[in-house]
Amino acid sequence: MKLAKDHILLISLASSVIGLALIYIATIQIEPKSILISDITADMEGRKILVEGHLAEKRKHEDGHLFLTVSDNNSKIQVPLFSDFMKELAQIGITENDFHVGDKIAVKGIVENYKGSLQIIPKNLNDVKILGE
Amino acid sequence: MFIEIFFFSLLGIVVGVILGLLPGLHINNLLPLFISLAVLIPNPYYLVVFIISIAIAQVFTSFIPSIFLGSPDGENNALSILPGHRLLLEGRGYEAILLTTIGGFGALIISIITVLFFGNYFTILYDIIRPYIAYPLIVVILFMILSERRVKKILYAGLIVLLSGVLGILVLNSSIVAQQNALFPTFAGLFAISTLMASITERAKIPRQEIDATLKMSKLNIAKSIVLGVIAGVLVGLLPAVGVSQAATFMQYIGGLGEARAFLTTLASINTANEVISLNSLYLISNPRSGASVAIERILPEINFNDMLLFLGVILLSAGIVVPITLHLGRVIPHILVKFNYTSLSLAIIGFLFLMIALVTGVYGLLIGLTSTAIGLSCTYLGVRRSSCMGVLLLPSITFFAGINPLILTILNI
Repeated sequence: MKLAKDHILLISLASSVIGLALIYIATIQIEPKSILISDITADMEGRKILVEGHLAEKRKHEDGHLFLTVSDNNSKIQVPLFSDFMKELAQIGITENDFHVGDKIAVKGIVENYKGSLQIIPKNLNDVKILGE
Repeated sequence: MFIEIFFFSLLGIVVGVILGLLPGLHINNLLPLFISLAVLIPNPYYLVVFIISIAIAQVFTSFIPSIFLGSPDGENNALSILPGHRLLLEGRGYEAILLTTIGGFGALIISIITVLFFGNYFTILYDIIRPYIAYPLIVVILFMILSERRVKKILYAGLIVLLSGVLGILVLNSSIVAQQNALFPTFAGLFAISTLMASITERAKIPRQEIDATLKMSKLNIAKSIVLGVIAGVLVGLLPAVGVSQAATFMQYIGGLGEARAFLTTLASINTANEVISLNSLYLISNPRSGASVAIERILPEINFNDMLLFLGVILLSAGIVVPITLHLGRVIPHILVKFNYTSLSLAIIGFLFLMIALVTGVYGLLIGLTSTAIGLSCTYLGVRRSSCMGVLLLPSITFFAGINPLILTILNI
């Protein structure tokens, strides 16, 4: 059966929309797994994970970035909140003053390698949650 | 030490030539493997030289499969498929290779000179440009859509930009596929597989190729393409979220380099310039922008000026050896290709690409590959320019530089 160009176009457009919907559903359905900081390895680079721990350190950069250090069971990892992220957080009422050393914190983000050290980069404003003291 | 440096560079060139010829494979896919070799190689400089030589060799030879087979090695030369395919079907495939080689080598020389004399000013350029980069990208998208001229085509182009843009935002921010591999199925589908499928339905045949050194492009236009490619390469080498494809699209519309030959020359220029500028970015501002420079940063955290001179020397050596190899392959491969039935060859390449997608990115990568193929085919059959599919990176770049990425992801709940 020879497919007319119009048929191919229709099938392609429908497939595009269905495919995008499926990718979106898969994205929101797949929850990142919660792991210990000590279990984060370099081969997880590019993957989204969830860690829970305590805020061990916070450091503000002159460009508006906020660098958090989250720790659990003696392991630590840096979580940089870049200036754009901080500006968007401020829109929903969260500023650097809301982060206190010692707070229990949950962070979801992509594992990235920066100069040999692994970091977690949150992308969504809900990826950083202060759970309490 | 010189002999060892030369040896590792030659080894890198061999690996790079082979990698470049294999469709769908890029140095970025193999970097973790190369970095792990650090424990076996006593002097880290040898490994760095090896990686630089692979990167340079691959930049040149990767245009061969993208032009002759319609399959890129990734984002960096995906856009070469359409103009390269066009020249191939005109019987001018070798000319396409010649142009990419001239563009690549010319850009290499100019970018090395630029880095040596002006490299220190790039940080100032970076600070000036970064807050405003969203605006020219918006202009590029508008140009891309409105240059279709007819209202119906403008709407179709807008639709493709939107579909590919949504795909880009999802793919670049989702965790269903590892981020560093996410663009492979995306670009394979948008540019390679869809082009090959369209060729099959149109029963395209590779005509006899004219293997001669004639260039149907003036020296002035070649020079213009190379210089604009170097400028674009500087932007790619400095700015995050601006890749080779976005820069090439930018130059295509703003630089007036839409014609196939000019575009191919520029694309090759951007690719090689990017490798040089990325090394410079690593040296000056510890900001690696290419896969190879990221690997180098892991192996050699601190780089001094003498190291840079060594690396630039290795780049020149590698290019000097790879250029004649590429041209030779460009002459030989067409003779082999015309013996194959193009439909069978295209089907084999499509199968190979899907296999690579499945192996590298799994089931979700296949979903991305199929969706991007569908968008690429939609673009073809709607009759709009394939560069509209660059919405896949342009829209995410705009949201990134406009600082609204976190907000969009929150609204989408991803």
